[in-house]
Amino acid sequence: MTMVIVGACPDGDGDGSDRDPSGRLGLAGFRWGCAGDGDLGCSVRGAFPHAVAVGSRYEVRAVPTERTPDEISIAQVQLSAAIRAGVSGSGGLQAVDAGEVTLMALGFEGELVDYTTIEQREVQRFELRDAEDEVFPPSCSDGSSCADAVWDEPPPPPEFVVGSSTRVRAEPIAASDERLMGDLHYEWDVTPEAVATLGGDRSGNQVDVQVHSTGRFEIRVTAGGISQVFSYGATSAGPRRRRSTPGDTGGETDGSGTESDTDTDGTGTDGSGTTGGDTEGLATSTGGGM
Amino acid sequence: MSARRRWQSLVVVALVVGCAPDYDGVSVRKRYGEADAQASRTGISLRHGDVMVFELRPQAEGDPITEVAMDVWIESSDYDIAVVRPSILTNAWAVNGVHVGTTEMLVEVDGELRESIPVEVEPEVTP
Repeated sequence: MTMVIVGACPDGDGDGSDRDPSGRLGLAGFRWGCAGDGDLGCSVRGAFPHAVAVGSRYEVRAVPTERTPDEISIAQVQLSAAIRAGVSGSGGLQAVDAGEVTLMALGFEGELVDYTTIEQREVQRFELRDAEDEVFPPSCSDGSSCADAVWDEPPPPPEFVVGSSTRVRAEPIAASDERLMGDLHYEWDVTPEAVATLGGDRSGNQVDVQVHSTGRFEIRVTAGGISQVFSYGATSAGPRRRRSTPGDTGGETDGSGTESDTDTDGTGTDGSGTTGGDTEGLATSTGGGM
Repeated sequence: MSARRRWQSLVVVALVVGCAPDYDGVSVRKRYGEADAQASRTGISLRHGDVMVFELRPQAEGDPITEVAMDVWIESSDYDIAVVRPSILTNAWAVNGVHVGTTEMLVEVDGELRESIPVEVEPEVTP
């Protein structure tokens, strides 16, 4: 039996769920871990049991509930079979194909404590959200540049203000409109860079949009085999729909270079770092015996 | 073995049997699992990738043995097809279908192999 113990994210107070997190037997709770910078599970609260993006690496851990007998400790979470998912080489599980997978919470002697099922789904589209979890309305969603279609229409309300730096987060969405957990490798691009540039690690699901001059610009997000373009405007003043990052008004305005201001409002970090302090019930393996 | 020693062995066996509960098979029933999963004394079936929790109790003359504790242990004869493990529920075990195929569930009662129950792991239902 192959077994991989992986690190865990802090079990913060927001780690609970607005849906029943319990397993089928009601004897354990299942929670998302934080598999990396591209994992929505790191920043979305109350997520379980939403679905997982195909192609992503994800982590699930099991915790005791008030119904778990005191003498029982949960040692690991294990796949019931190597079907649609496997053990990732870097720890956690790898979502290979769409469909349902079954996860078992096992005790230290291999006994079944509880089990649950999750859905793995293909990424259909993305949503961009700001730090306040509001959606940036996309101007096009067919994955191609839609500049002509957009700019022939009356310009959309300005979304960004010159000099601002705004953190945005991409959320992969399934055809069922479910938000998808799991760590995807992201690629971000913005054009033209004279109007806006992107700061931060572009391989994760969050970037800082830094606006340098008035005009229109497009942000392209690519992950999970899907590429989608979002079109926005930038204005130097006037009403705006989006709040700039507090304390970040000194950005460049000449459109040159790539500014990399640090998010200062406390929303930038997503808890994606591993702490190693909580490994309770967090492990992955497939099949296996007693 | 001489005739005398063979007789002595039979006496020992008779004494042991006389002290043990009057084992008369096991009862098996499904407790949790998908709708099409089945569990009985004559066989276990479930889908590839599914988990089923079933209850197994030794019986004495058709009744579950509840007053006398009997040690029960269950092993799959092929872990590549199905894995059987204890659950934390009383008298309950869990089986998960690892690969499509057939195998057996070997039931030991008080250290003695008593039952060999067929296990069939069926292909998953294609949506």
